[in-house]
Amino acid sequence: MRAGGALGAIAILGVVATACSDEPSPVSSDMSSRDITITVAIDGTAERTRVSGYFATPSSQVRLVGGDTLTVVTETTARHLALRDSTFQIDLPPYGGPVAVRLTRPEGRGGDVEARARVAPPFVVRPPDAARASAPVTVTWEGGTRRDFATTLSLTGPCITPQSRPLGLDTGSYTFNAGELEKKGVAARCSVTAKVVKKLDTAVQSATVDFPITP
Amino acid sequence: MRFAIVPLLLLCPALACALVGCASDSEIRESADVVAADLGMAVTVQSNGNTAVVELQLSAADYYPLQISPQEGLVLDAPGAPTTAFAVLGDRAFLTVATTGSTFFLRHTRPDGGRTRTLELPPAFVVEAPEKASRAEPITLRWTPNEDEPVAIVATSSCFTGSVGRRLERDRGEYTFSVGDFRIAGTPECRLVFRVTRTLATRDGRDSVTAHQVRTVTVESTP
Amino acid sequence: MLCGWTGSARATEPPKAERRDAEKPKVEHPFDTVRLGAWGSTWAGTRLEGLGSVAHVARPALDLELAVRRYFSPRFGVDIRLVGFPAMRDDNHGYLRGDIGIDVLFARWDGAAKGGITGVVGIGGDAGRYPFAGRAYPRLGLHARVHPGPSSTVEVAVEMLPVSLGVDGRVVQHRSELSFGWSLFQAGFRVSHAFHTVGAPERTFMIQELGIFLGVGLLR
Repeated sequence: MRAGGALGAIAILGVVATACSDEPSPVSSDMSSRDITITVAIDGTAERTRVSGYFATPSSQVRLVGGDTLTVVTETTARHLALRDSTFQIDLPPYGGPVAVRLTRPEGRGGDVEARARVAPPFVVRPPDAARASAPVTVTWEGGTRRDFATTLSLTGPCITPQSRPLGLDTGSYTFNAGELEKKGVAARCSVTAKVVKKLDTAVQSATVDFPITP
Repeated sequence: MRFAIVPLLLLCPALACALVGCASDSEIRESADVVAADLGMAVTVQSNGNTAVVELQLSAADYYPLQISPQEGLVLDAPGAPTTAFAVLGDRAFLTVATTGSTFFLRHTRPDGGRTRTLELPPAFVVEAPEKASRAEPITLRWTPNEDEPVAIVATSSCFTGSVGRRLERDRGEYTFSVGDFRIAGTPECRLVFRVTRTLATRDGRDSVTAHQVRTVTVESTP
Repeated sequence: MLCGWTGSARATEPPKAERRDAEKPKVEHPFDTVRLGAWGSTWAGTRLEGLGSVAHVARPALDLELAVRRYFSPRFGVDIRLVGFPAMRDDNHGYLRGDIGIDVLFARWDGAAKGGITGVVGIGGDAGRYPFAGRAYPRLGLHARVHPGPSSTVEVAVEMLPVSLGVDGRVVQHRSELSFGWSLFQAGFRVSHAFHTVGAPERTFMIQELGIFLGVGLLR
């Protein structure tokens, strides 16, 4: 019994002497570049280009320290970024082209880390003149972007059948057939939102326009 | 010794399972076990204008499909074709018949009675499309409109992956695909297949009939 | 340097009974030890996370130990030590370590606190809870033992494991131990520092362990 008590006392001493922990270090200087992945997402409109993303690292609460700096670089600007809870976000002026989010690191941490994306140029959508659901409805925008962007046009509104068109070819216009927008049992005037999205991986450039439609 | 009874107690349910059979509750029910008044029939008919394919299932009051018993007599009378018996495979019966008609009679006979159900297809139609069309121009399909049934159009091709589909709630007898609808790249010539389907669905008590008129046209897409 | 344990400096002839005792084969060397007991310790420091990042770790540990030192001649002995504790359920606290070595007694002295110094050369291996475990290593050590009384001992041991095999990177470890014995009762303290150099970019991670020992000494 005495021996058992002594063993128990030793174990308790061990546990009490320190709180158990096994945590990845949250400071960036303790992280190898090989353990850091930056994911970037771009949400561009005609008003602004929002660059956001997150760091995938061993710690979910990474803090940039010790000379590690984060920068967003475009063809027209380079801006420092702050990291909060492993995420970052910044709004830039309307922009189209390559974007890089770069973690610049001092020697001995495995080199710089970079995430790249390409966002389509900003554009606007033009509404049809005097749109009628019973007639063809044509929506136009600045098209002709590179084929690697996936363009989708959608039309939504309370008085129409919602439509979504993944376009194989971005020609800058699309015509809905006569009656295609008509909603069974609804013959009223309403406001319709047309939205065009040009997407490449995680970079999205979009534009919307509202216009009235009559039966 | 006292503990020797524990394995014996465990052995008892095992023996009971082995004798009775502990299979899951997957009772196989046959149509012959159900009286005619409780039988339901789900029929699907599809015609391309020359050939009709009919498939049916019998179900009990709970709509659960039944194995079709050999006692069930299932034949179809179609215009311009001899009376044809269905082939039964488990809980389904199939039939293919060469006919241009759009009204068929399905006769179901069994020891406790029989009945005849009329299968009405949507009106026949012909789809007109250009034989060749430039990729820089829209492609328009035309057919005789019938506002009673919705129309579905599906375009497929070996030149692009997936399909492009449209569902027209109101049939206006034509549809135009825009230049941007198809993603065709790096192929000089390409064959687009358009499948236009007009559907009429009816229900009568426990019976339901879904009838499709399907037409397929091909358009050579040129650069 | 090497001097007699029971007094080569004695000037007078021992009595007859004593001479008979001296002629008997001596089965027990003053450095012989069989020790059985348990270590309670805490270990803390840094370890490799991912491919080259740092994680901070702090954990308690419990080990059972059987240590045997047996001299087969006045100057040479063998030193065997088994340390470990089984893993409980699905934790990763299990550990096993085995060391074996040759002890060489190269200094001893008499007086009120007689004692001696031995050198140890050996090999060992471990597996289990520590990030640097799963390796084989050579051992180089020094043990100093003092007998302040007829049934008490004080021993200081320092040991260095200069290289390792079988684990990624390089491991250098220092182990130090201070132990006391009163009759059957044994107690001790230990300190260990392991330096594990690994990862891309390469970093040196350090684990420090502090522990206490309670047990029984079956010999000495």
